[in-house]
Amino acid sequence: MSPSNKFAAIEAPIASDDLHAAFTALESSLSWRSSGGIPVTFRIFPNLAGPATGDREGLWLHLEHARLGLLRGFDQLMCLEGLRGVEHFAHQIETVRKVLRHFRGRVLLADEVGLGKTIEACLLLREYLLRGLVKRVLILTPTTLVSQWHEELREKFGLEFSVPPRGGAADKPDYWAENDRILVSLPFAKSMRRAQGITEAAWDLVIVDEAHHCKNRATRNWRFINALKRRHLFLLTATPVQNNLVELYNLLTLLEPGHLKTEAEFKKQYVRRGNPRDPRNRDRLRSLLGEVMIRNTRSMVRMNLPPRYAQTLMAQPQGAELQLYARLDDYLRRRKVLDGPGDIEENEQAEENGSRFSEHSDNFTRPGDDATEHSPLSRRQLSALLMAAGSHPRALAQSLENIAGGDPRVQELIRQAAEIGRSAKDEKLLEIVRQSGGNKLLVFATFRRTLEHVQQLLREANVPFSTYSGGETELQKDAAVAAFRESVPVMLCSESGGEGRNLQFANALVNFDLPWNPMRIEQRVGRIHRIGQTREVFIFNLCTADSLEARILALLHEKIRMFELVVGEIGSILGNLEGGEEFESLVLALWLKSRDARELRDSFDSLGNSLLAAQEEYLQTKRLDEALFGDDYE
Amino acid sequence: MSTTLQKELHAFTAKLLERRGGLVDWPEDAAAGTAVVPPDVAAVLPDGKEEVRLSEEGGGPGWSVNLAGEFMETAGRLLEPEPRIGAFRLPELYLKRSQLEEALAKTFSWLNVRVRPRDISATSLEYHTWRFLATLASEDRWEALTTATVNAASGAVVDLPDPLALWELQPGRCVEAAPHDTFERAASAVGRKIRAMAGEFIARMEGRLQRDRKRLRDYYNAMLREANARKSRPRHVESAEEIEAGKMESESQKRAVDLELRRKLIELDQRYAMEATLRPLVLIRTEMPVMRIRLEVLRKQAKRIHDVYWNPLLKHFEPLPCSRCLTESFALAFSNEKVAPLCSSCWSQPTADAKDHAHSG
Repeated sequence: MSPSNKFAAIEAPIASDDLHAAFTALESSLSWRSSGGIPVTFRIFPNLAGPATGDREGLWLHLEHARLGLLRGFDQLMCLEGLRGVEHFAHQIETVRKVLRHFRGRVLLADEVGLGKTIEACLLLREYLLRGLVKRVLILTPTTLVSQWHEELREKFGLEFSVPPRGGAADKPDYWAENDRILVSLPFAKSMRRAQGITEAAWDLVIVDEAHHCKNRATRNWRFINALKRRHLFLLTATPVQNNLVELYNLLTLLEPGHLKTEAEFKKQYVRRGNPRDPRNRDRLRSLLGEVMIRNTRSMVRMNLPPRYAQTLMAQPQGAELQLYARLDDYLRRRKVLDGPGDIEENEQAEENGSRFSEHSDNFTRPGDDATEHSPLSRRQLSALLMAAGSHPRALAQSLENIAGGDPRVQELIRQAAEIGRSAKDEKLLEIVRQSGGNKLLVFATFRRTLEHVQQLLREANVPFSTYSGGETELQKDAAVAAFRESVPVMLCSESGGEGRNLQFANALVNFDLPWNPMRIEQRVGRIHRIGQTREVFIFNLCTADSLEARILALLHEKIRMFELVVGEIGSILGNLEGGEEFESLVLALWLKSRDARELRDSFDSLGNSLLAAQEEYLQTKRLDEALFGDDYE
Repeated sequence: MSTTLQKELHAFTAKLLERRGGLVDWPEDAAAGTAVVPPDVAAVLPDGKEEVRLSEEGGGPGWSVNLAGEFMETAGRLLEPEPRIGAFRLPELYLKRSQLEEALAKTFSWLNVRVRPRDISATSLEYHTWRFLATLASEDRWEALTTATVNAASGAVVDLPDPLALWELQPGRCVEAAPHDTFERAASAVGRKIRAMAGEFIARMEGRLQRDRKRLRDYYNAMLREANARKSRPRHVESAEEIEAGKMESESQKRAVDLELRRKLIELDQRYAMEATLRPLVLIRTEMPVMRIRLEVLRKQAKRIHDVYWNPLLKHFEPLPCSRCLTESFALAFSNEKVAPLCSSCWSQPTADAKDHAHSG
């Protein structure tokens, strides 16, 4: 070795002017290999710059800052501050600590549904990033959860992740090497065009959500995850065993190959002959699982909430309102819609690429019909119109204005919608308010125009209320919650209103309109049906008879009894639906496919059966996991 | 959080804000306090307000002063304008002036030269104390603060006390640039020191790596054994073709498992590979009086002047650094042509100038 220097007594060559070369030489001179064969490479940060001071206090502050920084143990989590609207629970914090201390960054997070595995994974991710333990992170989720993850990472955890574009950029290996934080769906990532680029890049941390999709070693999912070069790996699933114990073995082999020995040895030791679901040597198996898996259960964390009850209030539109919906349906069925897959984002992509157009229902398109002559609607525009119609005529008028162009039929629809004073749902809402007897009511509406209309409605009915929506400042939001808690009986909320706020003092909720995505409905209910709620919760769903919302509600409420499920279960059930499409895309596809009300009803019936099958599959798995891990797994 | 740590954080925060022009009202034993800060400081703090609440508790309004959350990051941003280089002097230190030659003879061993002291005088020298944050990142992480002080004239790394802790320290002449030569010298010394400092951590990583390697080898070897065992129990009498096909399948399976094991072992090695980083935190330049003895070092065919220093803080002579490995030593040989100092181990190594020529004397 010959580190450069220029001291009088030292004969090694004096440093060249090229500091970089001198540094490289010094770094390589310091590198060594430990006695156990671990190579140690050196990196020396650049020399200090700037003026000198004769004041020792500033220097002391620098040194004290560094010294205090070293005292950060894993007992003091760094991830908890600066979170926005994240309600984290003791079991989640404990999980983060356990993973940091004992699991060396490779863990199967297998909490029961609804206990917040995603929050745990995001807290861990933030902790690892803040501590500088990881830099390059890859998150793999089912297609339907990419946007939810993206939004939560950004909004709640302040973490920006790249979602790969569907174009050619993501097909090049450079994309995966150059981006340090990527969020992508597993089906997109594992495709032949991209898998090589992703597996060749080295990742500090890989997170796989709904990891039970990788339970089978013979599948491309499992092989793809196994091939990833990763330092740390978090697998997330509430149902690590769906059919047999070998699935659990396969998942854990991704984490620590050999931890459970070979498959044959595992079966011999831990699976009862003739019944692949029945474990032997339970205590020994549990102990081994405890080294790589964390499972919190409701009974363990005492998270059993009071029951919730839902009631659907069907509003029967009359006269002009009834006519408006019929004319709208007729108009939309004649208007061209962009052809493309059900996924709304993909549809936008198709729009950008100038893909072919089609009329969504040939039988309803007549030559010379002026509705077909205007620019085609995108699926997003169409779903926005249908959702607005399900919300309120005011919201519909606004959405129609966005697509009107010079279309006289749309102008006519706008005029009709704007002329409707009170809708049938308005009357129902006032009825609920009157019957509530001053009890606190949280009223949700998706559209701003609907919210404004309900404000006016309540003012006219002399019902005091506060409003919590995206349009308010933080101070105004604080004031709205305070007023709702202390004085007014009603608080109006926009879609994500009140997330992270304690609103458990209310126990009744009105869905003035209904999001098509059941997860969003659950988020609304979760505002009051959460830890801290001691009373039964009542949910009132308002919908217009024969509307799409009425059909959705019939599916969710009557078929699978969604409002009686435990928080999070609906996600697991929807995840079992074949095709992995988002629920709202399915709804839109059914509407597009159907030529009339009868066909629409049949399609919804068929979707209902699929939902029931998905629910049964989920329940079977749940029973198996409960039997395997018990309530007190730790 | 322990009370001591709370007090330390409390004191650090108050000093930091006052340093940046703030007024702090936070009694020592109170859990919360307030500060009024200039707009540029307020812009960095979480609420962005000029009147800021300081609290030991996390999650509330104002600035949470604790090790959770982003307190340290915010404090780091507030510290950015503070210089990291200090220039000081220690003007009045006792210098030993008598019996230095005897002390010199007792301290140093000259292995292959004759040495004549030529001149003994008091002089002033700069010492550069570099403070580093050293990190070893592997499957786990190790961090420590460490220091090296370099005599700017001789390049020797000497074990001086922390200058900032000396009451005699006075502001010195302000200089602009940080010297590169002593930085390299200090980084080199600290780089070596880390091996010993992090010995326990490295041993732990080695232990884990060995266990993980064993687990992988056992796993893949067991897979192969199981596959072979299945092959060796044919259910019917096999034809020659079947036997040959079985052998080929077995060979290809063995290759696949070997390949996978090798891949996993490489991955494991990459996971445990360590990156050591040295980040300079501050440089303290201290000018102080020392006694210098100018030595004439005589080899057979050459001679050269070397200086050695008696340090008033150490109260003894400083060693000289070996010209090859930079290790400080009191037992020195010298090379033939350049008459450069060599430690005993470099002198004993068979290198061209160090041994072949130096030993000839």
